[in-house]
Amino acid sequence: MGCCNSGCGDKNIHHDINTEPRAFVIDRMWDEAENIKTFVFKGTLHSKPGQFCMLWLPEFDEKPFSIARDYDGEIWLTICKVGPATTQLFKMKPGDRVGLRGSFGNGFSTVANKKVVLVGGGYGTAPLHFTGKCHQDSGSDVTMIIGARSKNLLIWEKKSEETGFRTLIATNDGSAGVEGFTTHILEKLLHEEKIDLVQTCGPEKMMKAIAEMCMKKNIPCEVSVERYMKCGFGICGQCVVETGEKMCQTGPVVSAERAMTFSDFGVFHRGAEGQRKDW
Amino acid sequence: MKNLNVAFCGVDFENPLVLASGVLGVTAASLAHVIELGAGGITTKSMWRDPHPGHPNPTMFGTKEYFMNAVGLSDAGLVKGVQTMKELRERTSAPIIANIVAGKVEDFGAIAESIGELKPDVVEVNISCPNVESEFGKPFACSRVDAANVTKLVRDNVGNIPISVKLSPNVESIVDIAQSVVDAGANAITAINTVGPGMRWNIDLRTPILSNKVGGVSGPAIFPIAVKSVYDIHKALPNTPIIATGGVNSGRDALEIMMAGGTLVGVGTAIYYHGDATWKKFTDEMSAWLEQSEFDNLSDIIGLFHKK
Repeated sequence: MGCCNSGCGDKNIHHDINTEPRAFVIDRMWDEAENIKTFVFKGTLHSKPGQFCMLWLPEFDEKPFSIARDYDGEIWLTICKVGPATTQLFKMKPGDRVGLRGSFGNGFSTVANKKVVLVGGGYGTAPLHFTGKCHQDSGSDVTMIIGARSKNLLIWEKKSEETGFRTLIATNDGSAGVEGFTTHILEKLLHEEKIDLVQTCGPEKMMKAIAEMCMKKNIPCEVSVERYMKCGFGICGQCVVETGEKMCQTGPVVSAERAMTFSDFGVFHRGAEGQRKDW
Repeated sequence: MKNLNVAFCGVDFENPLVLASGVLGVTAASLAHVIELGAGGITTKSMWRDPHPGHPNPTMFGTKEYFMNAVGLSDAGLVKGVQTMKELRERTSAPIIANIVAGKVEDFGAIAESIGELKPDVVEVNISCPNVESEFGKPFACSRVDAANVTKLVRDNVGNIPISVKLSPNVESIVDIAQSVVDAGANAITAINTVGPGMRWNIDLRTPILSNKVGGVSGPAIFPIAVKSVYDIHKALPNTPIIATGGVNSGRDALEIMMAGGTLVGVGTAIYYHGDATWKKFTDEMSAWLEQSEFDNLSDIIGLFHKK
């Protein structure tokens, strides 16, 4: 069964009218890289790639995570340990229960019979594999550029190759693939080949550089703009960018042109109390 | 074409729909965007003098019939509040209602003075949040004496800015509380805050859904309670304008609660159901109704049910 049977390609999804969390059991889990694990749950959130869900650790906290896979009856979340909630989650075992709600937000477009390049930086790579699978199922040719600081932080590169994506690697220290940044690889590709669509998820400065590069060459580009998401469905206002648009609904995935109208894109984001934090 | 203008405490609003406090209120960009989408005015989230962390997630969820929240009035404190207010004033000329809160009666004076200096069009005093009960005991809106003391302190410290006191429906008589705050110097009443608190559990996880265990109930289910509260307050205090809020979920709901006695109409949870389209959808419905009615001005319908 392909991913597009689970609803990808369905534009304008907002939230279900019921946003109570539902219980899901951790089916299995494994390490992807240092401090990065993938958790698998049986079921579906009917998501499209690039959307996110809220994961609830009962009596502890609830946080937003992008969805790394949602097809064939399984939901995969690839999660980096960054704070108390993810530290708590990393202590959990198969058979333990959590709450999930979603999917939320606007995801990546899926195109048929085109040449697509996906650029993932760090754990931003996770939702792009799901995106690539949807393109592939629609007959598109997928190139995946994966970047990390060094080899031990690379994720999803083997799955990318196994899925049949042309997979290109960049590491800052040269310990795997090309030494340097994903943007160097992309620049060369855009110069040498005819690319129909570029989609990216990762550090915002990287995405901004990619957005500028694609706009200059008139190549359609989508970026995933991550902001502090408290509720996930458009009520709290924590995730707005400087135009006032909510990234939990208008985003996280927006076109490069739209992202460039956000004066905070690639410059700053906001913390839990709305305070400015520079990238 | 007839317009939807209303005047509230001497302030002109292009239409009576105002963003209710606590929704989309974290940044000036967010609040100003609500005006661009068609709101007549906006209410800031509750501003504290000192930073206040609020509750961990989950803090809210919705169903078809109702919505529950226990955000816990998270706020970065006065420094951020002042900055947000200044930026908001630069971004919009629409009326700003500044909502203030404090944990102790005596702390309302200081926050009122600081916010008053920023010259919002109206100051709304939150004495009725059900989600901070465990921290501070019963909301001040549950006691005529506390409610009046808070009102007087704000009145004495805020300058000549009109004040509206936001009341709780979770009391024996909301009319008695309304009377006491008006006697203490309130120019207007905001009614109602959320109902409850209520409680919901997840049966598989055997855990209350909200981290605070309990939360205020809003949304369409509480609209009848809001209409009755507004009706009762207007009947007792016909010269006191009301910001009528609670479960308004259509333009027709807004018209109904104005006829019950509301001058402005607070809109919050409706955004969960209608998103960014809320404002235009509701004002279009109101305009269409007004066009075919015998009334020339929308303000003619305020308190209409009492004139029967």
